[in-house]
Amino acid sequence: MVKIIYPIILASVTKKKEEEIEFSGSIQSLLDYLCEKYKKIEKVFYNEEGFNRFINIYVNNEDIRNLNGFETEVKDDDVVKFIPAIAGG
Amino acid sequence: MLMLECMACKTEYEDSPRYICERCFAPLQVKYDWDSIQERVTRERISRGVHSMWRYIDFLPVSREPIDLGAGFTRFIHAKNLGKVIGLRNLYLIDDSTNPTYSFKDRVVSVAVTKALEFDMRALGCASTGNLAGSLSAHSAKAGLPAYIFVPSGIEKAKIIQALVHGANVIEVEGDYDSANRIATELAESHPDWGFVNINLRPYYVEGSKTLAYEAVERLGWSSPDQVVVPMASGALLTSIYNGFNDFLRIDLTDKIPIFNGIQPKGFPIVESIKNRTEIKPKKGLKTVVHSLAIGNPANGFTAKKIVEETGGYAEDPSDEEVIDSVILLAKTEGIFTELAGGTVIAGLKRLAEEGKIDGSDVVVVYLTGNGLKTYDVLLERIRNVGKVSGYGEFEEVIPW
Repeated sequence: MVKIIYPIILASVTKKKEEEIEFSGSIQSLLDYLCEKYKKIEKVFYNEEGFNRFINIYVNNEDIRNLNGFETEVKDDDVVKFIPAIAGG
Repeated sequence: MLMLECMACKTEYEDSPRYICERCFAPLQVKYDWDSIQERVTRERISRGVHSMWRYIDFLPVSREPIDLGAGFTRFIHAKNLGKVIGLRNLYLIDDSTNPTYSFKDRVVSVAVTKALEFDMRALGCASTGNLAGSLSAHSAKAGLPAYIFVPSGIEKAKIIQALVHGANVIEVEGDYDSANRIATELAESHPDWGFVNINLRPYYVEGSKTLAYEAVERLGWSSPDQVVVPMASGALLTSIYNGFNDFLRIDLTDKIPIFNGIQPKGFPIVESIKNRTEIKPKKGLKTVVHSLAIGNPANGFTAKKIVEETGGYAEDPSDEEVIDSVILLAKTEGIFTELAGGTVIAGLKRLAEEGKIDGSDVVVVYLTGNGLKTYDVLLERIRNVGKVSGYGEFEEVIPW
């Protein structure tokens, strides 16, 4: 199972703060899956510039931009977190 | 009336502890009632104010008596000696090493902690590279709230001793600043009644740094400098200083927006993106002695880059060696012992002057953000050894004339 953890603002769309799903594939396919499952989430994930730059995605506490980006593979027991890209300094 | 608004889609929210837009996830910023500010603010009113950043209270987002340890309105120095060395006749320094906890963070924390009390929050927290830890712990003590501070492992002990003395709970996080920041962000999500000053109080927190612009204008006789030189970590400081000049320009308290130059240690992402004209990409594992500027994933990098580019400024990324040389240069010319972030900004200034990017007659304001005693250990190998004598007769042997 892959564990997905949502920030409060996304949880208002998913109606849950976290969930576990049967999944194996890239982050891009996980995003596609979530857009299919939660119709309203697509508007938060994507804008005219592409994926919302104010959302950071972590796989096992590592920013996907330091891994393989949207091609990063997710497998059993992995934890995927969506975290607001606002903080620091 | 004070509001929050989304930086991207401009959706408005009431004055409350929110930090991201519910519609598009972008950061929120404070929106002021400028008509009301313009009606009551005059240069004379400001000049009669207290000798701290709170002389600019009309431009700060608070509605209760501030938690004021005396931050701001710090030394404003015409650096004639340093200016002579690097060829700048009108070089001025704002020296925040003289703030209550010895860094510019007292400005932002003073605002954020005041807001936390306004919002009846139960505790305070932050991720910190050191300066913020010291400042938050002191202001938390004054406000009577517990503090939880997340720092990267390997931080200079001199920087967390303050936090520990003030009674804060300090948690060292395995990894770099970005790891500490991620954990603090997750905690801010799960504890909405805790005020994480640089996360869920961030829209208010960043407003405190605007006073660095106000002070430059007031100290220069109500006029903006031609150029400013600012250190960058997340890019928030540079962005706030820009907003400060904009505020004063908006209500005719100054004449222009200066050219903004941003400085980071070698290899860090904001400067790299400006120099290469590329998008900002987060970086991991970069090594520098300047821990306070070592943010690989800069939250306000996009805005800082835009400001530097739009005002016609430059970005520089001096090496650690140049940084240490510059700490020593400043100390020997102006009698100011600044922290390594201050050395970084002086090293960047030196490059800009040498490359002719700043004219010798330009009025330049440089921001020194903290005190050298916080990072003294890095300098120990570079400074002259202490002479030792056992009696009067040996004195001339140990002192080089």
